[in-house]
Amino acid sequence: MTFNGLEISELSAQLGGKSVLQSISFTLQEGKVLAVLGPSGCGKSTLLKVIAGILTPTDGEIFWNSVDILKTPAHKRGIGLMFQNNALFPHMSVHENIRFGLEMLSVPKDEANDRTHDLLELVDLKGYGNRAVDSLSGGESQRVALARVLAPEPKLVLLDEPFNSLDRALRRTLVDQVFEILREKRITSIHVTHDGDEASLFSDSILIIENGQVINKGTFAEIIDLPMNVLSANLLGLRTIWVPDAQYRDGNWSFLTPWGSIECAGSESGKYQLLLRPDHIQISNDGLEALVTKTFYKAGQKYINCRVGNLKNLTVLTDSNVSVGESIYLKVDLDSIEVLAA
Amino acid sequence: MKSRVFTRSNRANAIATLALLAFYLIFFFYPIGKILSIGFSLSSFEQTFTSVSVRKALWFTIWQATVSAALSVAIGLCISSVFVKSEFRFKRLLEGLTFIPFVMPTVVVASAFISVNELLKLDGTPLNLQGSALGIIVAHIFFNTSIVVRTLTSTWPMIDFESEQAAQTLGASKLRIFFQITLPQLKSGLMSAGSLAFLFTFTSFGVILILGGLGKATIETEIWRYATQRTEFETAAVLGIVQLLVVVAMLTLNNKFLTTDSRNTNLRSNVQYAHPVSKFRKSANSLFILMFFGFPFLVLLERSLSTPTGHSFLYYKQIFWENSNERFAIFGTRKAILNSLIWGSLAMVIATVVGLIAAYLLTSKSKSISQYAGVFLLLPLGASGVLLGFGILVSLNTGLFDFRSEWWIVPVAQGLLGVGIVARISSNAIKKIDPTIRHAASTLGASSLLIWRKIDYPIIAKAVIAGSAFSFALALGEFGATSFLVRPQRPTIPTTIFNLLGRPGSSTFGQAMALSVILAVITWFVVSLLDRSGSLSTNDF
Repeated sequence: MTFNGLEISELSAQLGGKSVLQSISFTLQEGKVLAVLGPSGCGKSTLLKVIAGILTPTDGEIFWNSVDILKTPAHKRGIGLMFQNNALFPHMSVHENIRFGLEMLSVPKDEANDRTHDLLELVDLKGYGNRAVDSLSGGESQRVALARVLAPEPKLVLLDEPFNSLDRALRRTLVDQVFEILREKRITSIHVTHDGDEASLFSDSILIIENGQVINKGTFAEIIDLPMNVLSANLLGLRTIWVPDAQYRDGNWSFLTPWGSIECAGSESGKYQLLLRPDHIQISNDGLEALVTKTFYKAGQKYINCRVGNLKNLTVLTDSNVSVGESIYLKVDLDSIEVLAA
Repeated sequence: MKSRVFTRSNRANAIATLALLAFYLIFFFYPIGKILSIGFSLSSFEQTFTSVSVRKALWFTIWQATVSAALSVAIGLCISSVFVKSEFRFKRLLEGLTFIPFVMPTVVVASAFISVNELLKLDGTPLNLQGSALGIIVAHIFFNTSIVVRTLTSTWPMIDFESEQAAQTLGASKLRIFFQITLPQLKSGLMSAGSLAFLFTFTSFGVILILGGLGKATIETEIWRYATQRTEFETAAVLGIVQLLVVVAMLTLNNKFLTTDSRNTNLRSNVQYAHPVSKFRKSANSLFILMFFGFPFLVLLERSLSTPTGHSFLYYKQIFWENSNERFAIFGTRKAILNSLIWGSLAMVIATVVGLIAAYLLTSKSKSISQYAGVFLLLPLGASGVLLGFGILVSLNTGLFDFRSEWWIVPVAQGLLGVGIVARISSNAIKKIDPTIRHAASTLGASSLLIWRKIDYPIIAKAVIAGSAFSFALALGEFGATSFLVRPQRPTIPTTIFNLLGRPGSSTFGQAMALSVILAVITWFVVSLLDRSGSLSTNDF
């Protein structure tokens, strides 16, 4: 049966003799957006370069619509890559940069020029065609890079953290704009990022990589409901995560929390941390005494950080009128504390 | 993991690499190897160094090179600090003026100082510039200050200027800031420029031969004298080995301190330095540059026009029109100009083609290839013309390789001396190309060939043109190798100037001055083209 989209199977790669990707496998349906999350140096960018054909893997297979494309050279793969630094051609104008991919496809000059104008309009850069690329601002450069990637109508667009260098406000606007265009044109894309919020907004599915290995994959909702490991929880912005005092006895771990201990089966060599979500904590008079150390707002909601016993920075979601230095009482259902593999 | 796009292992590349190696082997390593084989014996060394004149030459070479290099660094430091820390009218022009001496042929500079000596009637005074160590040192400072200024003006803006401000807020005086904060940060730039200045003054030939005369011999002129005048090849070879060792040591030192180019000097354009440059210093600096770098050229021009009957273009006329009917025809000045232009062009083509292949080997993805290429292919950059000329003279003289009397051996040797510069400038430009733009081109459908045509070449074209122009200027003024290889019936401009200066009489002197002006104008024209086409950094040398 033919699969419409990208299939990666057991992909491994090395850089300078060092293993960077280890048996990576995943699928991505045509027209969908995949977010690849992971800490710096985990192999995210290498994965994109291998898919684009710039780097050759040591092992594994890459299929597009069930056709093996591993041996297809980068310039014939039809996969667009948006680089971290945009990689605009410094000696060409904005127009020439965007038209470059069309020239490579031998698109007639008039048609190539028309399409370039259309793309400039699409990315809100009408009238910028003759500008030198070094005269552009960060956001403008990103949009030129996007237009350039879209010009040859690639089957797959790979975005290698292209918004990293932008300030927060511009980043959000541009991310909105880029993904709106990608969705509108039903372009399959892989977006490398380490911003969990961004991934939640635009991706259909998420792949989490650590040390060149996939440690989690699924939809955002699936992973946020069951993060399984500390890295996944951290990348998706979950809190509060801490290392508890623990004891191992007869195949079971016993984790000590201020509200009592939790039992959990596990191996003796395993390392674990605990997760207690802010909305799973109640302020209640029959709880444990806690000291408010900080208040802050996120997405319009009020949070407080508290010290409970030896737990220093417990984040609590609240709409109560509490302030720093105040003593409150926190109640927690032990079942709501999750055990994560570290 | 290999990058798919850039493995340059196809047949064309292999052929180009083999051709390059063959060229280097025949015209560089074999001649240099021959010198080593002639001179490398204990008895030769013993015999050479028991000679008083050799020991004297060795001592003079070392001390004049040390003094010249040290003074060049000191003066260059003063000039650079004004250029880097202040903006003023005609700054660009003055910066350009400081660069001109570096590319001027040695014979032109020597002629210029002879003309200053004559105009100011310094002969017989303690300030005499002809036949004295003072003249040699002043001419060397004239040359090498531009290397120091060029290096420091590109590295100085890269140092952490806020550290100077921090020292100022902590109460440090101007002098303390300079010696304790600024100078240590300039160390690599100074060492790099200083070692180059020492290398150039140690291997200086034209200036010593013309300004020093017989009384002031150095290793370089002694190699020439022993090889061509006394035909004592063994002694010349031993001196060649000594010189080669110094060249290698200085190049190693220079490489160690070679500074990387500024990543973004624009960022530093509005820097507020701890202590701004005073108006007096700016004026004094400008005046010094005009007097020291501009005045000798002006005097040279004046002397070329000064005839016993007043100022006229007489000597220029003699060069172009009357020469063939006069007794001066033996100097063949018109022929010399034509030869220099033709050979210079050929040398430029050789340097560009060979230099570009070398540049690609220098930037090879394979570390071992780029490292070996870095050591072997850039050697001609530091080798002196005299050594190469002498090597060719004693090696390419028999059987299949009997080339030393061929006319084309002159442009080949001149070209070889320019290969390093083209290779260095081009490889620096290639290295600066962000690899991601090649990857971007590749993902947009460009094949390796198209990436070279559309991305690499347009970006490095300016550097290649700069390198070619510089190799042309080098070839035009090349005197060391040429003086070994050129036949009397096939003169070049520098050899003719040398011959004219060796003859008594106002007419020959005037023609030498006029020919020097012509060579200076051609060189200046080429250099201005070079400066417009792209910035040439001293890191390229």
